[in-house]
Order: sequence, then C-alpha cells, then structure tokens
Amino acid sequence: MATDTLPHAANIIGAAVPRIDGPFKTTGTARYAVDHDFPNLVHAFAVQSTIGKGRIRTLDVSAAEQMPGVLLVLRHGNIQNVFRTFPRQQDGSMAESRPPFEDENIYYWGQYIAVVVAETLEQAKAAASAVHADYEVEPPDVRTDLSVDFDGKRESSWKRGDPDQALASAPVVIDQTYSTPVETHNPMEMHGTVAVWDADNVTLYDSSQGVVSFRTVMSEVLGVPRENVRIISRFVGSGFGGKLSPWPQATLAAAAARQLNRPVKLSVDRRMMFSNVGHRPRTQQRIRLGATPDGKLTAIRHDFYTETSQLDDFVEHCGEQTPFIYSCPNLEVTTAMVHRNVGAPAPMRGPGAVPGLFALESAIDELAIKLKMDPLELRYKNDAERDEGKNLPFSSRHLKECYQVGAEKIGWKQRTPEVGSMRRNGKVVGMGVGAASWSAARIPCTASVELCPDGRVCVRCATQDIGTGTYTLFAQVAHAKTGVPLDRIDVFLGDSSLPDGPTSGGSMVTSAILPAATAAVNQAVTRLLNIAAQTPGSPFHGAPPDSLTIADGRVIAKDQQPQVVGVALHAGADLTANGLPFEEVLKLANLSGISATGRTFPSFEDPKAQKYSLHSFGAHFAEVEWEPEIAHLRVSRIFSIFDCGRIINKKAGANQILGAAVMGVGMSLFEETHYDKHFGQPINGNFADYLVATCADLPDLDVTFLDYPDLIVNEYGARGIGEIGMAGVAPAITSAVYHATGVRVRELPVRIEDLLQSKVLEV
Amino acid sequence: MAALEAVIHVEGPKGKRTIPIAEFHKLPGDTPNIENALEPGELITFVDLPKPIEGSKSVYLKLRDRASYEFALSSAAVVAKVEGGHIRYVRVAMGGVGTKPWRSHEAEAALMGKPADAATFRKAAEAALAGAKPRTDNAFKVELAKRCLVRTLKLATA
Repeated sequence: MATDTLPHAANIIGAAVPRIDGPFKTTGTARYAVDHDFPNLVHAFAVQSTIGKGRIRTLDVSAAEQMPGVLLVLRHGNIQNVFRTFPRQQDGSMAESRPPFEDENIYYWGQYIAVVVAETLEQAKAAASAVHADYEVEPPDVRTDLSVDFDGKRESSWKRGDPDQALASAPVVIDQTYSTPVETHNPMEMHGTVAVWDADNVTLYDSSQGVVSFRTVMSEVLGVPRENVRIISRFVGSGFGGKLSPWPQATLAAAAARQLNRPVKLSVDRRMMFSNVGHRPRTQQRIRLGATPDGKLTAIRHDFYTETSQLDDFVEHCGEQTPFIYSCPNLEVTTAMVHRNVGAPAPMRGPGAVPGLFALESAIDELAIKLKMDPLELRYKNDAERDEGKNLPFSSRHLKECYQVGAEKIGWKQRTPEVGSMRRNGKVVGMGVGAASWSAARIPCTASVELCPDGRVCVRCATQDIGTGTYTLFAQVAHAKTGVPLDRIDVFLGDSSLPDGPTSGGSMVTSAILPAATAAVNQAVTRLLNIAAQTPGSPFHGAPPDSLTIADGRVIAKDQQPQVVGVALHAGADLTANGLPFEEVLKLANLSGISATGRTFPSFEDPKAQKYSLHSFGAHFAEVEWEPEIAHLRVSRIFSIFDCGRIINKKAGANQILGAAVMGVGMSLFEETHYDKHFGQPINGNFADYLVATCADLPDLDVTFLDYPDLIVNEYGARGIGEIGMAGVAPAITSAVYHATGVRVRELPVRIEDLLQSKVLEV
Repeated sequence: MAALEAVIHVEGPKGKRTIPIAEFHKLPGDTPNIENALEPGELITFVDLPKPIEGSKSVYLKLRDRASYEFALSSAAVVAKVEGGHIRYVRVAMGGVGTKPWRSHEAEAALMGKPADAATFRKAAEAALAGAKPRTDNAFKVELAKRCLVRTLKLATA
C-alpha cells in the first residue's frame, strides 16, 4: 500500500498524499448524483426550445400525454409552487434567475419549455419528442462583437491617478483589443438531479460545488423550510465553476417529484451542457498602456465588455488583477455588460482572471517588443511591492521569484528576441511567459471530529470534494494531530446535514477547512486526555492531563513519547509499545465516542488579515514549435511556477496546476462555443465539434511550488489553488506563438488561419 | 485509397459487382442524400488494392486542429516513383477539400516527368487547387491544402 511510504504524523502536512477516495472512483463504487436509484423512481426528460428568441404561442402536449408510461408533462401553467430567489444574496442564488416555465417567453435556444415524466427514460424521451411547440419567432441576438450598438452603462471598477492624461503624454503607448470566446464547462460528470420527497422533506442528489448554499437556494425555490431540504453530493465529477449554483433541472426534478409524489431523476445531457448550464461568457477587452522609453509603466486602462444572458447580470470580472499585478500610478478599469440571447453564464475556472490576464499579459508582451526589452525585464521593472489598488502590503508575494525559477527551467537566457530566430529539430521554437494571480481568503467553516469506539476517527463537514483532494486534506489533518493511520480515518463530506462547510469555489476551501478541522481534532484530543486522566482503571488515572499526549492513536505520557521514526501508517502498525489505544480509553469510560466541533474565523472579520492584500501568484513559461511548411503548431513545454502559500498535499496541489495548464492549452488553441447566427443554437455542442485538448496535444508539463507559507491566511500558511493555474497560460502561449511566427493572436483561440499569415515560411 | 486506385467489391440482392473508388463517393448535386454508389441492400465485402508500382513510395499526411480524434482540415495522399530525379509515376488525392476523396489529375499532370523539386511541387499544388471554390469561413483551406500537398510530395519523393 502506497501509504506505507508516507511521512508520519505531523510530517504528512505538505507530503504527496494519494487520495483516500481514489479507490472508490477506480473501482466504480463512488456514486455520483444520477447514480442514485430508489423504489418507484420515475424518469424525466426535458423538451428544449428550438428558437433563440420569441414566445410560445401554443404548446401541444396532447400526443405526449397519451403515450405509454407518461405520468406528467410539466410546463408553464401546471408547474406548482416554484419561486424566485432573491438575487445576489450572500449565501447563494439560482444560476438562472428566472424559474423554469415562469412565462411563455423564450430567451435563448435550448431553454426548457416542458419536462416529460414517465416510468422509463425511453418512454420519457419518446414522449418528449412528441411535444410540439408553435412559436412567435424573433431573430436572436448572438452577435460576437460586443461593442456594436452598445447602449448600456459602463461602470468604473477601479481608478487611481489620471490615466487619460498619463496616456496622452506617454512616450510609448500600446492600444489593443483582446477577445476571448464563449467557452463551455465540460466536466466529465454532467449535471443531473434525483429528487426524493418524504412528506414535507426533500432530498436532492445533485452534482454540487456547494451543498450548503444549494440547500438555502432550493428551500427558497421550493418554498419549504431550510431544515426540510437536504442536498447530497458525495462525489462530484468536477465542476470548474459550473456547479456553484443550482440550475433549473434541480427545480424541475423537485417540482415533478412533489407533484407526482414519486422520486424523479432528471439528467442534463452533453448537448444540453452547451445551452442550459452556464459558460464562460465572451469578453472584449481594450488595453491601453503608457510607458517611459526605459520601460516604466505610467498608465494602464483596461476597458472591457462582458457578455451575459437576457435576464441575468453576470459579470466576468476581467479587471480584478489589473490594479495590483504591476506598479503604475495611473489606472482605470471599466466594465460594460452586454446582453445576448444565450443561457446564463457562470463562473469558469479562474473567472475574470483568465480572460483578463490574457489581455493584460498580452499587452505587456507587446509593450516589451515595442520597447525592445526582454519581457521578463519589463516585468521585473514594474513589479508591485504593495497592492496599489487596495493600498495594502501583500501578505506574501513572490512573483519575481516565480519568473526567476521559470526562466532558469525553460532556458530563457538562450532566448533570442527576434521573431522566428530560434530553431530546433527542423522546427521554429518560440517562448513566452504569462503571470497568474488569484485572491486568497479564509471563509467560515464548521467541522466535527469524532473518536469512535472501533478505533476509527470520523471527520464531518458539509463541504464537498469536487475532485480536488478535499477528502484527503481532512484525513491529513486528523492523522497529523492523532497519529491514527489514514485507513482508520473516515471523512464524510457532500451532505448538507453535516456541519456547515464552504462552497468549493474561488480557491477557498483549503484555507477554510484547515483551521476548523484542526480545532475540532485538538479539542477532541483534549477531551480524550482529560477522560484518560479522570477514569478509574485507566493507567493514566490521576495524572495531570497536560502530562499526556496522543501518538499513533494511543494516549501516552509525554515523557514516554516515542521518537517519530517512521513510516507505517496503516492499521496494525504499532510504533508505541506503551500507552493505551484511544478506543480502550472509551471502553474504560463507557463512552460511545468523543466528539468536538471546530470553527474557522473568517479573514474578513480578522483585523490582522484586513491589513493585508491576500493573493496567490504564479507564472507559466510556454514553448511552442512551429512548422511553417504545413502551418503546424504544437505547444511543446510548459513550466508552471506557483506561489500559493504552503502546499498541504503536493500531489493534489500539482494535479490542480497540471489540470489547469491542460485547460489553458485547450483555451489557447481549441475551445470556442459557436452560436448559429439565425437560430442562436450552439452548433458545436458535442465533443466531436467542441475541441478540448487530448492527451496527444499535451506538452511536457512541469510544476514547481515555491511553498512559502502565508501565515496571515491560516496557521498552516496554506492558500487555495484551484483557480489560479489556468490564468496566464493563454498569454504565455500566444506570446510564444508571436515569438515563433510573428503573428499576434488577440482573439482566442489561435487558429490555423491566423498562423497562415506568418512570414516565417522556412526553417 | 483514391491515390492507390482501389476497387470496391460489393454484394447485394442483384449479385456481386465492383466499383472503382473514383466512382464510389458521389458529389451532392441535386441528391445530397445519396453519398455513395451502394444500392439498397448492398454491402462492401472487400477492397482490392492494385499491386504497388515497383520502386514507388506512398505517403498520407493529415493536418488538423488538434492532434487526435479530429477530422482533417486538409489531408493529402501521394503515390510516387522517382527515377533520375524525375517523377515517373504519381497519383495524388486530397481530403478535407470537398465532399469526397479528391483525386487531382491536374496535380498529376503537373508532376509527371518533371524534376522532383520544390518548384514542381508548388506548381502541382497550385494546379490541384486552381478550381477550388472556398467560402468565407474556409478560405484558409486553399493555402493549407497546398502546403499539405507540397509536404506530402516532398516526403513521397524523398
């Protein structure tokens, strides 16, 4: 067993620990949302709009209702008791603000217009295809240029100094517009809900990044008290931000189940993933940089458009990192929201930062070229010592070191700046760099720990593991503080009936759960030691509790504590001949268990944390190979150097950055959701036409963590890591593409038609 | 198979017959629903590839957006035989440029008997794509197909 070689006890914090939930996934015993089945369960299938804008004149369900097995055709007019959530509230809202079937209006292609419930899935699908809608059709607006006919309001998000004056007088100016397309979340596990009512209580098996907020939202949507709603999401086949809020299929499954008084299962299929459950919206960003001839930034303007649906005010905050990455006295960031006939957008990995830093970092590269300066030199020269946006010192920032380490690894010294000047193995080679950043915070969390009579330790928290290693993190803490082997630690997550835990979003789970889990284990151990000292018959009876400790799951006297030698972590290992296993203490005291609850105090209420700007940083160095004769581009190497606080699990941490770099390759070269101009349909809504990176597309990937603890965030110095890795990949790649080909791609993804413009024609 | 001049053997209710590869795929015309020469009930039983020309070399090259699980943006198949630096036998077919595997007799004519060099290959590619009718979104394919063919010819005559 791999755990045999893991560092012992406290040293497990920071080690490369295999996931404790891995065997459930590899053996197929992990049950995801729609894997759940119940007696009497019936199947639902959604009917979607085939127009992009307009109104349903008539919806003919008579044929469908007569078909075999059909129990209900849910639609506008017969759906009962579904409500709106108050928009933008702290503890969650529906991703799509309009409840399904609220009226007869169509706002985007694929909008649900009915749901057929039948005894079998096949019957439901067959009847769904027999529902006939007659529409008043209007032309949908899915124009990709977000600036045309814009008549909304542009809001200033950040401002300092006088950027317009500084730009007007700047000796060197860059003024370019960068665009990122609609990108669609495609987690392996699609959305889906199984709804089970028991009198006034409902349990929803959903694929959720936040079971606690889902409970709040669904209680409002269904009009039942919060304590009557339970959300279960024990395993999540990734979310990438698309599962931060409930989608209409949850509402529809719950409403149908209530009206039929039978469990209902409703799945979103891959095609629907492109229309009904969010996407990263299109952005169009004008960047203006002013600089002195020796490369000091004097002005930054970042004015962007961000697309959203007709009814939802979703903003992709492209300018969030702009005020603090570089030192610059004059700056403004403005935001304009543009409505289109598309489904509601949703946060997607590194929301705002990923498209925003594509634009800003591309412009910095263009400025370096204009100044005839090395792009790293320009970055060193303008590196921010403090957060000039919030006017606060950084808690821990080592971006310069990320550049230095990355430059060393990729061999930046050998980089010659002229376009097409580097060759290797009959190919032109290009190198580029892009910075990454993401905010850190410590959000509230409650966790409980129980020392059980069978010698096992149970940890409970209503957060969830969306594939990031959260289960393992809790087990690491419990092991570090008790020495109980990992295979005797049970972690329970993904159930809203557990103690309230954080939503898995914004890279905030790790920093939130560590203090709560630690406090809970410490308190349980303190209780255990007190009981050991107070229980007659205990070998420690009468000893001062503070003379006792726990090691390898055994209560021992501190002066007999063994040297930590080792390695063996699983059951049966006996490193301490002395002491008493904690379960024996429970037996002597006739206790069914010892439990304790720990809480995390949020950083936004912490006066010390408020004095700092909390952010993670990183840099990607990308290398591309270009074969001009056949216009063939390949990303050959990516080095990712990250400053994300102390990494608690090196394996899960590296996995996050690797996965994000792969998504970054897809974003740079392939991903784009296309909408049909006439009908508004996402026309490449499948895996043959919407290209994501395959294994064959992957470069050599190499991740380095600087591993500086950020003790302002928590006692472990750990920050979250899920979002940041995708930021900076695209500008590193497009800068490398420019270096190799002389083609500057300002609208992602990089297309062969762009590369065919290259004047570098021979190797 | 178009470059190799394959023969498709089919069997159906009316018995057995053979279809040369060039006649197997249909252009859309007024019957875009009919994609090939198979009659109802007919099955392909096997494919004959003629014996390779002695001293010839064949190469297939596929260019696409990503490295696997993806149709060709442009592809080329070439069978060529070079003697004394001159092309003595050549067959050229292209993919991703039309609704069927595109045998280019124009390119073959531009290559036969000519020196196997870059100038000849480029001329052949120009000839192959001379009649191309691109649309707005696939205009780039004309140049891409030419580069694809030039590279394939280079490899097949090397």
